[in-house]
Amino acid sequence: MRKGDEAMADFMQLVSMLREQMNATLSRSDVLKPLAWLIGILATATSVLVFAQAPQWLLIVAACILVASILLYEGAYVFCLLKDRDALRSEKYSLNKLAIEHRLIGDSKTGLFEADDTNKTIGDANSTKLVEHKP
Amino acid sequence: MKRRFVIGADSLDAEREGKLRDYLQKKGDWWHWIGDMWLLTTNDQEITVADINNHIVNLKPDIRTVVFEFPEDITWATSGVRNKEGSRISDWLEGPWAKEK
Repeated sequence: MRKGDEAMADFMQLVSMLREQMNATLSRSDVLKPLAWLIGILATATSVLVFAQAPQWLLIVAACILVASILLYEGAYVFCLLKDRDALRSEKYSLNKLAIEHRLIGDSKTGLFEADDTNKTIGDANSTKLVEHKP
Repeated sequence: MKRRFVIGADSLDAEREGKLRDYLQKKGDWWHWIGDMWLLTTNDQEITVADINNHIVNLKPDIRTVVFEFPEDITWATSGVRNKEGSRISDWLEGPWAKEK
């Protein structure tokens, strides 16, 4: 009975950790998210098997798949770290970064300024009017 | 004789845009008031569209880019609000880009 209580406590601790992990990944949608879910599901399944005192061969198979998933996650993380760091960030972050980076415009006469740095109150209401040149 | 180039370079990041700007600055006068579009005027008689294109590809090998050389005086039209200093999008076009008098 005591062994069962300990297993239950371990299981609840694992669920708590998984919940934190899921909350941490909820706000970001990066390329590793599907793998994180797979690891979470496999870890839960393995815990359930341990709790249910499943046959040893089944525990070994489940543990092997879980370890393989974790190794795959780590490999993918290192690959992205070396090849494409932005893949580790959310799509929202990448789009915001792209928008920020593209805000500098200008010319050799005026110099650089931010794209949003336009002031419609300067000049008259026709500041956006067409300027046309013909040879 | 002044030469005029129109350059399209898709989605360069800030660092690469800076490098392209430095390159164009060394060649002559540049303009970049619109997204991925750049203009260059230069007195360099040796430079070719391929040279500019290759420089951009070296910045980002998988980029989509196009470079045109335009004749001396062409028709153009533009619109856009002034910046904070009151400069207009057309100022440069009426300056360095314009036909030499």
